[in-house]
Amino acid sequence: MRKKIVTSVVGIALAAAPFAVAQSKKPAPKKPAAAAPAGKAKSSTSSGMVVVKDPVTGALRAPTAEEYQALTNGGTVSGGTSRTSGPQTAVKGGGAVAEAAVGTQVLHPDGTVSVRLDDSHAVFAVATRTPDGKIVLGEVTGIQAANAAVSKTGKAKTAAKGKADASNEK
Amino acid sequence: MRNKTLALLTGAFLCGASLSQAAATVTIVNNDGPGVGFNDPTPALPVGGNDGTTLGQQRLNAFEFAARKWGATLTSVPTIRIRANWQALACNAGSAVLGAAGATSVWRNFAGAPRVNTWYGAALANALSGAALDPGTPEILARFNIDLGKPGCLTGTFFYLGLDNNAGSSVDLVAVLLHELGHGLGFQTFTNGSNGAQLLGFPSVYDHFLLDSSLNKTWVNMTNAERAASAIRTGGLAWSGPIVNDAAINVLTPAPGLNVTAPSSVAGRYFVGTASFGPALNTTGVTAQVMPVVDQADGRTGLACTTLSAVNRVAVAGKIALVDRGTCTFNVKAQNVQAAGAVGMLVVDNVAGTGVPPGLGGIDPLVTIPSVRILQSDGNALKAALVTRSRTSSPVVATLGIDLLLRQGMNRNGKMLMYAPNPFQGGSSVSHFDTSASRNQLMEPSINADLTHEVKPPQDLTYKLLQELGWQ
Repeated sequence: MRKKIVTSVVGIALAAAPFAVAQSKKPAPKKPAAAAPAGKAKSSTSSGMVVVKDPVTGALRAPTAEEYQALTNGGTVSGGTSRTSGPQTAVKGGGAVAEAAVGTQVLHPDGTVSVRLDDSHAVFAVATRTPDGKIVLGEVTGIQAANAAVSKTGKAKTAAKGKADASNEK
Repeated sequence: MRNKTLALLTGAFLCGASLSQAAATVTIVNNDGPGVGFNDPTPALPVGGNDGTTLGQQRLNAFEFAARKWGATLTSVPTIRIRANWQALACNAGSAVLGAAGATSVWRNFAGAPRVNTWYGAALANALSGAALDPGTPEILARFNIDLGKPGCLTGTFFYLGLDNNAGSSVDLVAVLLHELGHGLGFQTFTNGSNGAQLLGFPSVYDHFLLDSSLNKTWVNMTNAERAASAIRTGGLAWSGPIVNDAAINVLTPAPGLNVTAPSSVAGRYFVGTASFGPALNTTGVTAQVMPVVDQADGRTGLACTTLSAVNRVAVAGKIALVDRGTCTFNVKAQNVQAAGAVGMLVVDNVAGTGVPPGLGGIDPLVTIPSVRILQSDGNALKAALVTRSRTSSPVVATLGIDLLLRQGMNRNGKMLMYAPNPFQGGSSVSHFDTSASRNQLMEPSINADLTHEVKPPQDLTYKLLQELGWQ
């Protein structure tokens, strides 16, 4: 399926600006993403919708069933986990998308897939002053976790260097 | 003049020199407005090799220094762009968010991708494909706390803006930047470690190298439940890649260990937790038979909290005494087996553990024999082998010392340990080297005061891990 798509876009620049794709207001989706193959297991964290960059207009639109298949590649990963990239939200019919939303998988004409990330994946460094005056640095993922770490009045969990339990206890 | 220029511009723009070095060009995209952050005109005195004359310029110089370090290390035809700004981030008098960095997007199945159906951070994806996949968007986003050190924001503790790795009690901005940019360049999984779910159903390239030594599986071959369990298996999560592990032998310090040479059923190298009392272990080591103390009614436990019986004295004289944790302090146990003539002491932990055992605390100038803690599981294995001992002779022979074949921060199979505390620590777990690493590594979850600003051997393994992911 992917080859078919690639073939269909010969001559189109490869994903030159995958997020600057709001040129067209005529995305004309062929079939809503909601028509994705049945039986796709949803991940507990699967939250992104699926869009494709139209090879002709350059606009983002919902994928056809074929494109969806190319996007997810079907099948399962070893270890028995189902592919979990089933769309949860289809692009509303015909509306151009100025920029891919965070967490949205974008299928580019050459088969490349991208996802824009937000603060939930950024690694935040947090510094905490210990009772003896030392500064201990630790890290958390996401702005919410970072804020929560600080709001614990300086009790943010940090990774102490060395062994956890070296007291001379019994 | 430069600040003036910066102030006149609005929005994001490329600032400063393109940091063309040997291998890659890294640019800082100044996302601060006029008079703020990088554009702060507050006069500043030169500090630690940073000759900027304003606070903003010094901040920019520190960023450029870190960018130059990575630029001189990595190879990339496309420019690596870091969109950066200074802003208010959460803080109070005792703690503060210093800053953050991360990839702005992830990519899979692009031209030149070494692995299919695998997420790569934008900078690495660009480098592998040979062109910017998204020319309009910087690959890394970084933001730092503009209020750090002000009253109510980790009061009195400021970023050190010097470039000479001499931060003292301040926070070394360059070190933090090198670390955070390391994450942005790919030293990170996008898989959720707390529940094991992959990002939209696909693994990160990082996951291909995460090896659970208990399951003997990499993360890409696990179920979500297995990954979640692996993420908290302290001492059991390792890096499988040969580039890191081959280099680590020459970067990390030889580890204290117990090398059991007989019998074959238990022969092997065991990690130990060292004592803060008694002599330090050395590379010569103490070689002797291992003999247990037995002083409890169950016939297999020996606490050694009182003067040893005649039978136990005969047993441990000239031997490495095996005792159990509990009831009395570690140094008391050491005093008692030492008085009976033991030449060393192994304390078997009384709780389950994995990886490198905790040490033995306490101070006791009277103890002159080496003492260590071993894992409960290892102690049980040795006890099983000791069933066939006589009153005065043991089948278990071992050397207690610094083992030149073990490394602090690697498992006994020569794999670099990854940070996997229990409970899970989002942000720290998995996406860092383990804290047992010595010498200290840039990509441990805590930034240690003795770090250099180096990112590759012989000091550091960060670049080696990035190479494993696909960077050149």
